[in-house]
Amino acid sequence: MKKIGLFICHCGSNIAGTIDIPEVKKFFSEYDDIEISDDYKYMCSEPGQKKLRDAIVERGLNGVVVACCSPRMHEITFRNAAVSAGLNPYKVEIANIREQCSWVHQKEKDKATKKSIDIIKTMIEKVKRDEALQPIEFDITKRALVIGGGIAGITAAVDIANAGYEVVLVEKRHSIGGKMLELSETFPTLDCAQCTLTPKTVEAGRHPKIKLMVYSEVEEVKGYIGNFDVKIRRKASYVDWNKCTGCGLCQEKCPSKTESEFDHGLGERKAIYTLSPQAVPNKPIIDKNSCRFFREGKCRVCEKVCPVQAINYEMKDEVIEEKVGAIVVATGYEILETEKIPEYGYGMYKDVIDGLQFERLNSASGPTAGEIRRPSDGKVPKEVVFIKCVGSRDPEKGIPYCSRICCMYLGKHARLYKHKVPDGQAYLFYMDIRSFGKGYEEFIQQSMEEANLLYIRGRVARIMQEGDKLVVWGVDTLSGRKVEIKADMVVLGTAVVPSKGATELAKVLRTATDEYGFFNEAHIKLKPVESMTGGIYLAGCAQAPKDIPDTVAQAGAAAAKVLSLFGQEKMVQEPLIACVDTDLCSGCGVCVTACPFDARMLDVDEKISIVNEALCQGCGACVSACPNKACQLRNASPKTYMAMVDKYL
Amino acid sequence: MKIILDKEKLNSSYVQAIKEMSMQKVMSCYQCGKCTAGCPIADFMDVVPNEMMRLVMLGEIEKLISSKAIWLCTSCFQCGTRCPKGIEVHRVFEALRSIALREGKNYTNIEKLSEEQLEAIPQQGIIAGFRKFESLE
Repeated sequence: MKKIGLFICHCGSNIAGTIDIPEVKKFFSEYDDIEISDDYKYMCSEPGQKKLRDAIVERGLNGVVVACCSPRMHEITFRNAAVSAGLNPYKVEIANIREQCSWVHQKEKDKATKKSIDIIKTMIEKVKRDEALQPIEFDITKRALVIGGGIAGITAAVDIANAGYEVVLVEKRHSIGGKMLELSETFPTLDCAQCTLTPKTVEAGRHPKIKLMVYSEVEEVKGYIGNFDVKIRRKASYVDWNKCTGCGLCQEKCPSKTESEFDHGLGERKAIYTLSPQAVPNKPIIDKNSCRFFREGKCRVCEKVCPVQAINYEMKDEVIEEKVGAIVVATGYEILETEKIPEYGYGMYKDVIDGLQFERLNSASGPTAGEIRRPSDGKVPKEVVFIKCVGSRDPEKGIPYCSRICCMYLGKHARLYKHKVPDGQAYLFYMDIRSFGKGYEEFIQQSMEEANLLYIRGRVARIMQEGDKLVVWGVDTLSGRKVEIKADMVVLGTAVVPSKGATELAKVLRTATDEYGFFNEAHIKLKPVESMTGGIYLAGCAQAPKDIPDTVAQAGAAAAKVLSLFGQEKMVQEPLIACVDTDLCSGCGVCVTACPFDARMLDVDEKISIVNEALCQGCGACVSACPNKACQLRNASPKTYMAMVDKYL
Repeated sequence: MKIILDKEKLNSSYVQAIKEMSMQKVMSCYQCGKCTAGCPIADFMDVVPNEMMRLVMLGEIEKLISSKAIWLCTSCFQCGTRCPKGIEVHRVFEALRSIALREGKNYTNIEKLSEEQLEAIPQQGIIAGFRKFESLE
């Protein structure tokens, strides 16, 4: 004999405004297997939950149906309430009479009342057949992988490591620090980027719990939250870093020069090089594409001068396997290929540069040792135009979103320019000034007032070279007049786009990116650091363009999520997953190919299919694929569903 | 008409004079337009207050000193009282008027006024008329 309790929620007037609750309650008070039919204004409130708990204890209920909002909202609330009253949580079901009934039938109240009764009837059939299930528990590998060694990755890695867990920090380039290390000074305080960052890079480099893997890329990820198996390719550096002391002699003597990526083409580097003077780790690599030995077969100068015989031209890539329980994706950003906006002549006119190039011009470690000199002839530019929204908010040629940092960094650039060239004039073309952060609006206003920057509201249409000047055609929409400036240099605030390879990495991680290639968060407001895949968390510009304070905050949040996972003794998973009727299974393997989560495999000895309980997400793909109906979802068997449908019809 | 911007123009003697005479941080104007919104006679002006501020920022002064707006301004101080950036816009108007006066731009030719007109118009009105309105003639 079943003793099922029905609890109907008014949800204020959300449900009660459409559905005749007293009638529904009365209908079920005489219904088969219903021990109690009750209602309350807000079932999710504490008094509402108390009704449910008390009824379980006093009436000895062995099943509960709560007729309320979507199970996405409060299924967990009522299941937990049932547990505290001693009832198995999987004997509690939600009859969704809000989203699927009252909200969509507000103008047909009688029909809505009838439909709500039908919905409740079907769920009663389900509860009658539900089995008491126990959550599945499995062990957690309490080590984390952080992908990306910029400020986001470093912050997350250090936070996790400081809590006592091991971290594998993987960085594509051969030293950590990311884009922030390339910056000169940072807004809104104008403090030197290296000075604020290097204590962090040094800490990450020396932390006993952080295994730094630079010049490496994640190649394969298998497994699931709590237990990932990762393959990482460590690219051949041709320098034995165990021997290398970082003395720098090889860099000094190397005869091959090429454009420096770190200086964004404004300076040169050697073929054997460290990324920056503050590189962590301070070890060089040989770039095969520019090395004379690799290209022409002779040279070997570095090998001759190295005092510790660290050069090894025979070195090969290595693939290293790591086991981790959680992954933080902090792969950062690039800027849009500025050539895509041809009217600004980037790539054609030497003195049209992008924001990151200006950072290098202004940096003490940059190609001009921090003096503002234009690339074409090294002259100090006296009139400089800064253009915002280059590619951003431009659905035609660039990207439709706002890159979020350009307003601030171009304001910063103009101000730094005025520090170094006090008699220079800076013009800033903008569409809107988005200075959203703490101290940002004040920074912009101060720049206008004290640095005499001229902000011009309007977009620049084209730039033309005329002698040694760049003629800029723009508009001042505030005065409604077309504007022409003969500038010495133009700085473009180019749009922020995801790192190269982010989409491929997302595939490796089996998580999703948005249409632009930024990693998708599980919920834009409530789960901003969780990815769509359990155990994978997001930090920094990998998720969306953001500035340093927001990046650091998000990285800290991602680390906290990892730690709250590691804080659990065992991983607990919902038992509502696939199971196999061993009598029916013929071991055909259709389910193995149907499963999108790699959760199905064949037991060769028994010649049947089995389920990896940790990987199975209960999607049901195998259930529909199985020709013998041997695959079933727990508490959702075809028999149960047929009974539910019968009742509805 | 197109505005050609350069360093010299943005720092011309006119601009310097306006900044000094008005004692206002002209460049801190962010063009919200509240001065114009509150001005009781903006409707009658050929250059409204926020537009005037913008043209000062762009170094386009000549248009301003020959405008009628600077003489229509009644110095009621609403603009300055309401400005969120604390710019006393009326002082910028005053500076423009001073520059116009120093340029000696007279609209009224006293020789052409009849005896009756000279009798009827108060002396202050005649002096104002030198600068303000061609319509007095």
